[in-house]
Amino acid sequence: MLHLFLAILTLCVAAFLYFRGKIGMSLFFLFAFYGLGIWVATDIFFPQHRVIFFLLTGILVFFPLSLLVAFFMDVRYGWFCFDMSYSWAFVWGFAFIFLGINLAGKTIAYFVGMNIE
Amino acid sequence: MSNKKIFISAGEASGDLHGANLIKEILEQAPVVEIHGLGQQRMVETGLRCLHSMDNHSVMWAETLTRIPALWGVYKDCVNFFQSHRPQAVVLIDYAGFNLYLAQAARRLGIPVVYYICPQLWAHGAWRVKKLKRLVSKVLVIYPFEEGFYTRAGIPVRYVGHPLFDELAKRELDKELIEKLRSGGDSSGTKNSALRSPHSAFPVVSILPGSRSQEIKKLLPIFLKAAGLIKESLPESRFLISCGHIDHLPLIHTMVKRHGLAAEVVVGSLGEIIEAATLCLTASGTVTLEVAYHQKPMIVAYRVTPFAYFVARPYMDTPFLCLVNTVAERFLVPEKFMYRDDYPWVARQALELLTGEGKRDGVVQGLSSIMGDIARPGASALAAREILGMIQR
Repeated sequence: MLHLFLAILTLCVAAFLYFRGKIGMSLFFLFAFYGLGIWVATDIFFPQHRVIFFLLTGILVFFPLSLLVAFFMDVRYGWFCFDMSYSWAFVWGFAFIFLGINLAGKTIAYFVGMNIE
Repeated sequence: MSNKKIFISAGEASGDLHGANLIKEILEQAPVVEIHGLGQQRMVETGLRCLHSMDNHSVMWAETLTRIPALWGVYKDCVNFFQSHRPQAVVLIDYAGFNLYLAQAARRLGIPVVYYICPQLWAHGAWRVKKLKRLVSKVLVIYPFEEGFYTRAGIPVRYVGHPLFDELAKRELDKELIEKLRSGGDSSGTKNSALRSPHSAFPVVSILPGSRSQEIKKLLPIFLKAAGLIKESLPESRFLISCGHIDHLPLIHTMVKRHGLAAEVVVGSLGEIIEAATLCLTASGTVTLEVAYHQKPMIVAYRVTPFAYFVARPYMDTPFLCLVNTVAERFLVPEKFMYRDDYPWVARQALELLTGEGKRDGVVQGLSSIMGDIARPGASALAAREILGMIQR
């Protein structure tokens, strides 16, 4: 349960720092959130629902992260014609969806009595 | 100048208007030049040999994704045209999401690229100026402060002025309609002449909620609720609502009916609606320049979802939302970037401007001063001269 609590906390801190314009510090907490979020998802989904686990992490973690990398490449080198700052919409949208799914998964697992821990 | 070809690309309705004025000026100054490119009806009417009509490609946000296959076809045809016809210059008008790809293709073939009406990189996404520097030979900018921005980035730049002022200088306002709008249709009697004055105690508030249905849906309810509060404080006030396109009329009527406000909805005649007003409640965008041109006090609002506000805020590089304030480099007119329906703020600002004569006069003087600096016609002619100068070399 502790890692889920920490995931919520790190995401909230990351979002707060981003909104205050402290992008570097926000990224630190965002990566911490992704690490914790993957840990939670591994606990819930990996043993019995491996496909769901890979879909979740692929779509909700690695896709927005790759967009974020593309955004920073664009800021550094000016590679893209399209405004890549839209990547942040995917990052934040998907991060909260990822957290929501983890929360729901953990809650269902708790009530159904799956032996997760 | 014979057999010289210029390729012009404009994707949206405003770009079509400015493109048409540019083509007209180019053909006046050099009648033998061939103009090819992408545009809409007005550009075609003024002499564009249209490779593709952009009527159906003027879209925003997620809709853009649905148009990618069609836009890819347009892009391929443009590249084929560049290869087979080798135009002397490619002129891009706004529409950066697509036009920067054309710039890339033209640059690869060694064709000079001129960007006329650049994306507002000084407001958002300043890092993209590196891309622009690699792709364009020259930018023709429409606001004076843009000149410094592009000069600092090392891009050859020329300030030509805003083509909107070419249009406004040509336009003749319908004085009878203005009087009718001020008096609410009663233009016969003389007893109301004082009330019809734009500075009377019985004000006319014009609501300009934007030209896109998405904008109207977000902003009009805020303005209507604010109008309700204004009406409570100033019961004699009258309200006009601008409807830019007839297609939006049912939407606006439904919203007005829902809010129960007695307001007159006017289709078109934007200049007359602004001129009739004591105060305008307006969406942000070029329309604010038009309101400033008529020297009317205004309140500018822009409404986004809380999520969009959260995502966009850290990357906004200017403290100003409205072009008028950006040009003035101060908060000359009240503006607010909203993530919730903050109509009490709009009403409060409106009442301050309507009842405080000193404040209103200060705003009008400020608008008059900045219009003195920028509201000069001749942008299209100057842009045409710059482009022809480039292809003559």
